[in-house]
Amino acid sequence: MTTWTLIWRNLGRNRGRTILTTLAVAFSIFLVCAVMTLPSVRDSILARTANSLRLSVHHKAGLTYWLPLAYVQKVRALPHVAGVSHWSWFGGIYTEPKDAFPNFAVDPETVSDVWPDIDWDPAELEAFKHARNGALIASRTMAKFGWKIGDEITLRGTIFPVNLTLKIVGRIPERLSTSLWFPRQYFEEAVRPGGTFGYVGMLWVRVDQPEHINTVMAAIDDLFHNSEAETASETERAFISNFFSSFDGLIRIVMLVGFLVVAAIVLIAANTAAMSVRERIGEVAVLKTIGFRRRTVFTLLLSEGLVITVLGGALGAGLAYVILNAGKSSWSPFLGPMAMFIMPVSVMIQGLFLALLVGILAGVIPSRGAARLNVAAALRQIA
Amino acid sequence: MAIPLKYNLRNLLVRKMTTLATAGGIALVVVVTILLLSLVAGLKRMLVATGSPNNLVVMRKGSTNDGSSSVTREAVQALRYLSGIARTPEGEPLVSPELINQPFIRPKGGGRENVLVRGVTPTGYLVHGNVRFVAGRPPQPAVGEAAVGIAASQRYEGAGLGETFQFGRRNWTVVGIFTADGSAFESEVWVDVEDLFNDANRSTYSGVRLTVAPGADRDALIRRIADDPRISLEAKPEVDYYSEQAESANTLYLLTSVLALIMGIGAIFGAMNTMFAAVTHRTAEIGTLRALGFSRGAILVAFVRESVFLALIGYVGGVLLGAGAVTVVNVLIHGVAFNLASFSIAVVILRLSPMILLISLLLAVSMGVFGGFLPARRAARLRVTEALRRA
Repeated sequence: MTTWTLIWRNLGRNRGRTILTTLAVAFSIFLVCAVMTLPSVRDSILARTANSLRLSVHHKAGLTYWLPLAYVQKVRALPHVAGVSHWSWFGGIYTEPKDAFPNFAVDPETVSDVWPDIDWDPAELEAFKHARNGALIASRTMAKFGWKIGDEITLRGTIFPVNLTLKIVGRIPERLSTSLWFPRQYFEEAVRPGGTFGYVGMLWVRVDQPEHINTVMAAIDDLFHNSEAETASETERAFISNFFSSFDGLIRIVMLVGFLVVAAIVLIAANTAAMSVRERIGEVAVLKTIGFRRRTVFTLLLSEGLVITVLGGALGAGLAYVILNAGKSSWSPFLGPMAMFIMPVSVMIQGLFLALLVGILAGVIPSRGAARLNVAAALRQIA
Repeated sequence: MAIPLKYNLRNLLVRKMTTLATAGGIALVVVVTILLLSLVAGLKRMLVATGSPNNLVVMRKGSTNDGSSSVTREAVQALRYLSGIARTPEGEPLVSPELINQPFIRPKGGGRENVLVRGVTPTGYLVHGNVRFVAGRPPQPAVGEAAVGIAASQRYEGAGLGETFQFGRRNWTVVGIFTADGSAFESEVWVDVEDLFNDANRSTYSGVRLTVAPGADRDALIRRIADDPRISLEAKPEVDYYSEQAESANTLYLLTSVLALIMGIGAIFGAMNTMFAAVTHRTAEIGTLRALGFSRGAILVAFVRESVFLALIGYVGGVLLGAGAVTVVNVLIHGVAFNLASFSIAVVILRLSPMILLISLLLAVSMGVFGGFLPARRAARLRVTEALRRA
């Protein structure tokens, strides 16, 4: 009989216990995976911006302070600037505030200069440049409201006293985005009929080479130093990481919960391991008597626990992956993109490793105790 | 006849390590439940406590949040002369036009946060009756003074009484610190509304809060505002306004409940394991008890009871740890910062209530009952003869 068969038979001996422990581990790993998804979405968004050449240029005082539209031309004239586009927050609502999604007036002409990394459909982008009230909408938002290209929708203004009717001309092909973009010109006409509004929310600047990022940021901020609207430039990564920093408190609590869940399974699994070892003291003594080494006995018992936790871990992590990614992602203006609960494969792998770790933590002490058993004493005890 | 309680207690004592491990698992479930429910309770309290039943929120028609609404000065003048609005003894109507802005402010730990800054007139402090100054006084108009909510004053650099901090385009002197029944106002900075107009380069208010006169018909006033052709505004009771905002907390509440439930099920499996082992271990003993004349029912009750005791030990440990964790979060890091739907930061203080203790007690007891029932049934079904033979 090989070691594996022995482990397998031992697991089958108290089937009820094996199943219960496996399920306890599975449920916990499921939870840990679900919980870890929250920070992992943040991390994956941040990771994607790591090599971005884009800068966010906004008013030094805050995102609710506007910048003069004239800044766009001034920044465009700076050396090493490959493209400048701009965003103005409209803050319109389609139906209910709980269904809110970000909507911006943008400059259709410069979208592809600044976001060449997005996989645009050239025909849609072309249509966006020519439609007076065209809109590009993120696929997730289209799916949520059941919209399709060609539909007309109305956004109710909240900050601005106007309602905008928009015609959907294409998609923003970004998996994590929920935004809606519409032309700047249409916004100007609606907000200041017959006049000019003349301000933008923020600029997006693309730098030509990574080594020029700092130079360009300094040049922009110097250019507008001591002017009516001083700017603060930051890399796309810094901008997004600042946005996420407001979730730090929540994420910290979530991580604490994840840690407590793991601690709970370690206790449960260690208890199971200790119980099965205790019941088998006589057997272990016999094994040692007939010549099994300490190390073999230790491996035997530890592997038994590991099989349970890894099995449970695979079950939990696998289910979490399937369930979280199949379910309709939840929509919450509260959590922003983190509410999507799109679980990456990396979290599943982390879950599996965690299960392995739990098996080791839980099994080492009871297994070592059994391996070091004093044979004579043990045999006497059961005799 | 029932099996004495002492039997269960001593059994738990004999298997010290197993008891501790199983109760520990249950305790951790209780800690998580307490922590999350206190967070949700704090969030709800913060949002709900903000409203006063006598106040109305007036915003642009269709706006959902006074951070994204606009009301002109003319509209405010029209509102002031509507009947049914409370007045001060001097005859000044209790109408508080407000401007909301969200500049960056530097937290003590560095970085920047969007903070809700509310520009108000002196009447604002009369309309918001729950705002109480614990130190200092309300700001004077037009001199760049600020009153800071207690949570904000702990969180931001230079936001203590008498200090000066920078946001927007200028420096502001903190002349007062206020509390507001744990509401979201405590995370805000209040300044003179004209100062804020200059700073934010704006000319319309965001919204208006007003107090309904005692005895006046609140709903009639709401209708008068909605039907007034000069202004395109709508009014709703402040209480309703904040409970709508609190709806966003429900998602979190649901997630929390699911989390606690799943974790609870995991712990039930752990408890079951322990109890099955206890039954197997004591087969001979159970046979003896039956032989002595204890009924199947008595055995069933005794084992479920033992499992419930186990859960109760876990509960006590969990409450101690959970209450400790809540205190640590509140005292050491002054609560959890939350990004509200309005994009500004609010600090939530975790609130542990008797209700939460009761809910987690129910959770612990049901873990005990569910974890103990199947093993207890097995114990009760043992045949006397077979059980004794194993002895």
